[in-house]
Amino acid sequence: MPKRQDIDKVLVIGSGPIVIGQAAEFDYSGTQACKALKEENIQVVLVNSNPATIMTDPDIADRIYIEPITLDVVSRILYRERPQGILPTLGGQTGLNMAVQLAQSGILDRLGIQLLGTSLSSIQKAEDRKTFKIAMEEIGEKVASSAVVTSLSEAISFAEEVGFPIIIRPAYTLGGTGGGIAHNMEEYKSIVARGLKSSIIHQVIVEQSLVGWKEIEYEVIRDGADNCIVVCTMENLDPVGIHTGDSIVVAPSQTLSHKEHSMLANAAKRIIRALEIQGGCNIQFALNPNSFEYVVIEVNPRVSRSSALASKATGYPIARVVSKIAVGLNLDEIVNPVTQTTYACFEPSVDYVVTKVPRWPFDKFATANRTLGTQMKATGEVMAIGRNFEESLLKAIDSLDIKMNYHIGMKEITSWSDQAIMNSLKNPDDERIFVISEALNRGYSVDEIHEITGIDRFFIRKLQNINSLSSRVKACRGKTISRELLYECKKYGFGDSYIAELLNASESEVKDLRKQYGIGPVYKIVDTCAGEFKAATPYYYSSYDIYDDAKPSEGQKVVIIGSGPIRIGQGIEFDYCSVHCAKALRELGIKAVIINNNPETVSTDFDISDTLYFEPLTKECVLDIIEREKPLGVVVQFGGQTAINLAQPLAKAGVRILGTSVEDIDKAEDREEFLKTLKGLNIPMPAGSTAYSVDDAVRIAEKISYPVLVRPSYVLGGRAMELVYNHEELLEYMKAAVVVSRNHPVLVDKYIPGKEVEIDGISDGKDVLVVGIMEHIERAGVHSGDSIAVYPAQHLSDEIKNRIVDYSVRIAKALNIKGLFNIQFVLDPDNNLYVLEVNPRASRTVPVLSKATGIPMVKLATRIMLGQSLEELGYATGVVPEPHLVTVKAPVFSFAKLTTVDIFLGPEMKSTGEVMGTDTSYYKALHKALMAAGIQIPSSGNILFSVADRDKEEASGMAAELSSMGYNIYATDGTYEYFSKKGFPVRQVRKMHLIDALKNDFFQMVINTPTRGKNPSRFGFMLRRTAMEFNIPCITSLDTVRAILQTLKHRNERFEIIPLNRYSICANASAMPPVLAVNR
Amino acid sequence: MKKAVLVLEDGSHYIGKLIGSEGEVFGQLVFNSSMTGYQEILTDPCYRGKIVTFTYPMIGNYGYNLEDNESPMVQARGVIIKELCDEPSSWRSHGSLADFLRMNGITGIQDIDTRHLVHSLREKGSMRGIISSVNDNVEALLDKVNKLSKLHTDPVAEITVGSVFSLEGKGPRIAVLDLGVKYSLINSLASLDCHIFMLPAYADDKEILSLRPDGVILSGGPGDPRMLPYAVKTIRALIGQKPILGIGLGCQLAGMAMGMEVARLKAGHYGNNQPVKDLSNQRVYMTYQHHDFILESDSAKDLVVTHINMNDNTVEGFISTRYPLRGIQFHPGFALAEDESSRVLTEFVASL
Repeated sequence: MPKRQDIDKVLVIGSGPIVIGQAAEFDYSGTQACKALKEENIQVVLVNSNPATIMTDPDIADRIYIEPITLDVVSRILYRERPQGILPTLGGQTGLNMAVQLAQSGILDRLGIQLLGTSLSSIQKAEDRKTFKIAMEEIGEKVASSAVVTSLSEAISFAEEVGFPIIIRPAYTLGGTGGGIAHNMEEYKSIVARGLKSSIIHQVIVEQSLVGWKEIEYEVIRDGADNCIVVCTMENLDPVGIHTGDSIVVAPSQTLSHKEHSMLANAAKRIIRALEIQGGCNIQFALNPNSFEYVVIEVNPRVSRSSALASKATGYPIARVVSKIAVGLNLDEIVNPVTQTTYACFEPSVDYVVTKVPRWPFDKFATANRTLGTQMKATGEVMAIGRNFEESLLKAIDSLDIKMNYHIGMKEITSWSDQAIMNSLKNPDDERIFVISEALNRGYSVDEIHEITGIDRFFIRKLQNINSLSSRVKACRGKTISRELLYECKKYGFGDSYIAELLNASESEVKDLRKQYGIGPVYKIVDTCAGEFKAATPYYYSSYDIYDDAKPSEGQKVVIIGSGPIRIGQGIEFDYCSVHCAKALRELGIKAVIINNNPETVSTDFDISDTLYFEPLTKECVLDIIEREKPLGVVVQFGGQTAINLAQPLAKAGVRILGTSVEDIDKAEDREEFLKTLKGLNIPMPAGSTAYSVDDAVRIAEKISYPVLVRPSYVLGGRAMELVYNHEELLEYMKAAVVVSRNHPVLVDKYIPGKEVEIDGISDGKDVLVVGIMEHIERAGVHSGDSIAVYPAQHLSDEIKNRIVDYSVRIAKALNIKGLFNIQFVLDPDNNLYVLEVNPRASRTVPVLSKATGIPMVKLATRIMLGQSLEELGYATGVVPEPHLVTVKAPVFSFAKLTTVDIFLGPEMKSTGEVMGTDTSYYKALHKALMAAGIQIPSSGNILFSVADRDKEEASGMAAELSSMGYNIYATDGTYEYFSKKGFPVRQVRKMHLIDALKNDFFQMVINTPTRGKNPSRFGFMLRRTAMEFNIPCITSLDTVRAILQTLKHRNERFEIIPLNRYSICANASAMPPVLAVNR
Repeated sequence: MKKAVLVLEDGSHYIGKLIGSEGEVFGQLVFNSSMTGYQEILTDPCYRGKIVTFTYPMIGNYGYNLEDNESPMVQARGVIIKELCDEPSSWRSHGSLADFLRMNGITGIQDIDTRHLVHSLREKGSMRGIISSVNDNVEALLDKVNKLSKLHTDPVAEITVGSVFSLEGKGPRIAVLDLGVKYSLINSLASLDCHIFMLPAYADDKEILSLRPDGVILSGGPGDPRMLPYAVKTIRALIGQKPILGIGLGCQLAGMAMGMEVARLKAGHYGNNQPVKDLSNQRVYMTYQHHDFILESDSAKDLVVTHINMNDNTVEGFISTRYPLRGIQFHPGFALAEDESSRVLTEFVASL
């Protein structure tokens, strides 16, 4: 059927901020959807609260609303825009839920708007456990049984129905305790009783045990003519029980015979037909490893993280095809953009192995429970492609960009006791793969490990292959490794650095030997068809095979280093920058070559760059590509710290780094060097020094006086950074958190409790454009990524602003910045301005500022890196005039997924995503941002205060104000005593009754400032976590409370719905009038 | 591991490692892009005499078992694999693929750049070649390839049944002309409760008609239909007398019997993801096929093309407007979800 003629305007709902379980993959699918619709001459209206997305860029959709995804807001947009249809299946669960809510509210019927593609009833059929089960039974498919029970008798009747074994999982437990597997009624009763007790909400989930069954996923697409295809099969390395988002996943399936594969593929097609999905869906099966028995675990009637992975793994653009189906096209009418000669109606075949490995945030959350289970904990993932499984797995591990590459991962485990290894095998966590390898090294057999872990022997043997190959290499220590052996290592994905480690040699020695032997990678193309047809898309992966698929392209090229997996502190915003850089290069007629390994992102979509390399971002892999492509230079500014860390090794290897030079990057990153520069400029920095021992640290702290900020020097981005208020806390930190030594000193800085301000700027070395000054709501001490930021700054005098611009300009010039930079300042109560740090690269706020000002920041920076000047581009030194709208950026956290993580805000970043609210006044924008971030501010009710001694005075004022607004103020013991003297009504709550009060929804908001975090046994921690689990807003910074107070005072002002094209100073960003900035 | 060499008729060669039995095998190289099903493919009579290249790089992961054969033995003459898994993992596994190949006396080569080989076959068209673990002289092997290429072979004659036999059933009586029949077809007919007569490929019309069949099925099989003039003659004599369904090679022969021309595809259709459109309802199905030859649509007389291949628009099925005769290029079996060939087969049986 050709495209529907009745549709010419469509609303696409995005997925909102990045949280665990809903990451960049929906920017990727949403962006593809918008482009696919525009190709069909359909106007696209987009709503998403996440500014760091490509889909919210002016050239992706026709009308963009960066607004909270709430029923009220989206309804208002629908009234205004009157699209004929909504595409509900591209924006993750958020988008899907919103579409369902809209449909149920009746607005769609009222305005005559249709849900395109998969219908409401199909969505509901798949999402509702009960109707789903019935639908499956009708077509003879079995569903894994589970039930939510609140009493022992309910639990018993479930057990009688499904039989044993049964998994018991208490809902909402602190620390996830109380669950287990029961093999008989006796065990079952006792575990359920214990679980009910430990669950805060007295609720237990009981589930038919599929422990040890294989978890297999199918990505299926169906069109309006009932044509169905299986795009990809994926096999989870971990058996059922570990969330697929936390599993290592391999595509295609490896251990299924054709009969088993066909059985599931046929079931998948029956299921998508029974659910009448028009579009894509992900179907998860559990397959008994010893028979043909299987059950359906679940169906996602939308694009998902898995479909993004399947798209990148096969080259088949699922989101694009699904969008075309939604507007009436059938699979046989959609051209396969990869071959350009065949159609989308086929089942992709691959001739390589794809491995996805999750990226967990445990490096940031030392106290988090690392055990993997049914709750996803990974923030992101990497994907690698190889011609064998070992290669694909090792490349993926190298791509993780953690200190845990394969050899280091293994090293950390070697010191473990046998008992620890056994425990870890039984209770899988993020280090599972290393633990299995180590167990093999210690003589556990493949069968034993299979019995314990349920992982198929096939995969365990592959790990054994890696081990035996590494022993063979180790045996060559002190001798020259043969060409054959070295080649075998490379073929199985051993990085040069791993081989060097095994040989006790340096990485460069290995590389030299490799060159000498003539061993180098070749590059193969991902083509959807295993070579059957010629591919038109240059999407490459390396392998140590014999022949290159194609010669590198001719012409001028620039390599862009991507930012790898999404993690806390390095999120989607860097992918945004990489994509914009590619776009800017292509506009200049220069070919953009992207290297990245994140399957969720837009940057790894095949039509973003001229050439895409899906590779680990290691020095070795990047250099191999550079040697092949021979680019003009390499851009490292946009790939976050991952790319910056590569600058020096690349420069040493003779690669031209575009933009700010490596020496100047170092000058900004090295503390001593930077201090020298600032001294020379007469710009102050908080007092502080480097401590090489505990005594040193104490001496320094006493000299500069408490409180002080302490952090190890060798980690960046606020990791392991802490604010300590006194001698004891300092000693505790020094003892527990870090190893201090000559090689690993600790930085001790004076903590200045002032207002934090940051700027983003662009410099060409001569002129410096300050794009915007952002003010943080939370005072210094809260990581900038976790603060609410406001642009333009609302509480700074012109004099301060001028001083900020002056400092910024001078610093950028002194550091000879060419491209983007970011500076963080703190302003103390006496209006002294200090520089906290300078980042000589794109910062987290680039997308927000680009959108709020309309200045194409990445484009300008890219052009400067290629030799153009700000002047040529129409800008001069100074600050960009402030727009008339106010923009507020608010952080979003994923604490619900990370049990035992303390939620208080501090110098370590904890947020996973952000939202943006833009409106005509500060209060409206703030209200909007808080709403988009999901903070529900109660309009009346009970508010609990429990604050640290140092905060009591400040908090009492706020409590008084809230009280006068009609809220009932409650306080815990110490806080109560303090407040009760202040003359406003306050009621006392005993700590012992508090948790119960929280559980019973007695409080609508909790305000708690921590005395000291990290210790899960402390009362404050319990309080915060309990509030968290019960979805009660818990505010841990008084500055945030103040901001909330302000919005409460202005809550009668209804916020506006404003499309992006009205934000910028002028309507069209690309037609900016020249020289906007004030010349200084 | 022992070295093996692959030499192609264009003079190119690849050096890899031996799998299966020591020796030297000659055959036409084809590539198959199915990611599973190597056992079914290798034992499929349609691959008789061919050297099969698997595009998926890891083959043998689940070993071999006693249930998945398409015929009593491996039919392919040689096999080309990127990496063979010697320690399979599957509850049904009876042993490794390497054992299976050795048991069947099949010689193969692994650890060569199979993707490059596939590109070469795609660009230059189907080629003949030799795999040898006993001789690594490329010149000498090339010489052999050229000599052996001139020899006439009749793979159908090698595999067709020796004499007529029948399988009892209560349903329609079906005569199956065995041009290289596979278990899937027999199983499909058996599940429809047909009374099946298996006939040698060289059986003539009288012999067939003497069995009083309700319908005739021309099975799939290997090779060039132009090498089987005797079968074309038989079919021509049967047309109009009994309803006929041709599958794969049988489809080509039926077309030829109706006066259609056949042509050779550059690289053949091999795999289980061949999209075929049913022109009667515009639906597209994934099909299982393996053929080098196609019927040319413009040579059709008294025929309507019913199915085309979505990738290259070639004929994948036809029906006669005058006689009860139809043909499809794709095969039942291989456990496909919506098996269009099974639908056609069922329809055919039901019509009898």
